[in-house]
Amino acid sequence: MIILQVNSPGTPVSLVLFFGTIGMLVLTIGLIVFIIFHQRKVIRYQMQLQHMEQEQQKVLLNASIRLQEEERQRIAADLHDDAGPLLATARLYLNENLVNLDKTTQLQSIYNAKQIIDDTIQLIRNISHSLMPPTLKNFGLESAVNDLFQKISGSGSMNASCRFHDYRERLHADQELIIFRVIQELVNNILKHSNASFIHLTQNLSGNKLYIRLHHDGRGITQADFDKLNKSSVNVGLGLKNIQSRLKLLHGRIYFEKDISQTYYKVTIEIPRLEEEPVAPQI
Amino acid sequence: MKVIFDYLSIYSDIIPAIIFVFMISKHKDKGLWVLFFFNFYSFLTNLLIINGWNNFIGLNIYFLYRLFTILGYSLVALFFYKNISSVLTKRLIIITYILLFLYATYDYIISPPKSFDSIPSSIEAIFIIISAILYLFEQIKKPRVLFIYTLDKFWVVASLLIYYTGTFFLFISAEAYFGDPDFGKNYILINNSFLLLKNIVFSIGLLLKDRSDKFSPGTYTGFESYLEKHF
Repeated sequence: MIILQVNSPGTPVSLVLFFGTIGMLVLTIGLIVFIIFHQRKVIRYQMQLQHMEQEQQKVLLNASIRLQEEERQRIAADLHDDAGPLLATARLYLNENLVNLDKTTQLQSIYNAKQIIDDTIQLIRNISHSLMPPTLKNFGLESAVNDLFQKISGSGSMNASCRFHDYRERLHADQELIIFRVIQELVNNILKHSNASFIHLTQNLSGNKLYIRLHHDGRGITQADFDKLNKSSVNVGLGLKNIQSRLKLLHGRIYFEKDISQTYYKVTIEIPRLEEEPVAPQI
Repeated sequence: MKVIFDYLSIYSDIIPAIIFVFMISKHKDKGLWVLFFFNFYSFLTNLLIINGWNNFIGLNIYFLYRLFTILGYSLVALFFYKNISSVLTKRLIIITYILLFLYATYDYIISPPKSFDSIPSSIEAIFIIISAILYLFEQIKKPRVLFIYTLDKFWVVASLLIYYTGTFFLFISAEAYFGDPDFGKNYILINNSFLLLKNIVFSIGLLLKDRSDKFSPGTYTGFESYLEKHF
């Protein structure tokens, strides 16, 4: 306003000066306002993204902790319900020896106690093997997976087969353990929920990446279902969240899809072969 | 009233300098020192011209303006050089500085002794506007946790941008119309208005609290790091 008062209306230079200056000022203020709003938008977006990532990680962490607790409860239940009564019975038989002095009865009770202790040893061995399969440690992932699939096939509930195409060099023990746990979890899910008649596992190596594919003809999930279950904060899909968190440690990925023929469900695990020393998880 | 306004705008140059001195502990190591000297130098130049003290030391106002173009740009360029991290932009600032210095010297030699340095001043304004835009562009690209308007340097750069865009047309037309009394009035009014605006915005920047705007990934612990730590 003050500029308008000073400018003499007839002078062209004043007009040029006036409009030029006003134009430049408007442009500058526009630029500053744009920068402020753009940066606000970017920061809000970053914060939202960070919040979402934190939420996702919280869900994964909860799933991991819950699964650990479930595993502990299972071991505690196995020891309490199976090993506990067996050892108590063995103790009773041995106690009888102190009361009953008849030689034949004594021998019979010692024999019974021995049988029970043998059963207990077998039970504890099974628990121990389920925690850490010795085949995996001694002979590697291929043998452990073969073993697992033979056991499933042997039970008669399902036809299970596996084929490792390119596994000449063993992965690091920690990596093998994580992959084995993921396969175990997937197979367990298929056994529990899919009602499939067969499972087939194949292993391939392509470039620097290891691929493990599982096919089955039962009810399965697709990537969209997996993402949905993975993001849910409720306690559904704990096993899948656990798979996700285990694979994160190996920088691996998992894909769920339905076969083109729409007959089979396919799960693909992609793991980069790490050159450096991997993390040492105690899972 | 007009005289008060003129004096107010010229003396406003000292306000950011005073705030800077009082809040020196909050603004150390941040390259704002150079702009403190820039403001102080601008204040001295205007003080000499408005009171006619330049005649006592035997310097005409045109020479003072020309000197201000080179020295003022040296300080502003140094500020941007210290605050811009892109190597390419830093090189660009050096090149523009050399170009302006050479051209301003050449213009001084070939121009009549009592003429306004319109072209060097306009080039200076263009270089400062470009540097400010490049600086702001670099700032919005950086990952931050604080809004840009909470940072002192944003306001300082905005003040330079407002002043130099506002006076750009003034400098362009100054050489041809400097003798015209109407233009003279406009020149003083527009220049002083933007000078006052610049100093107000500059002072706002200096009054802001020193806050760390670095995006620190360390505060955000990922799931992997948790697992690596605990398992």
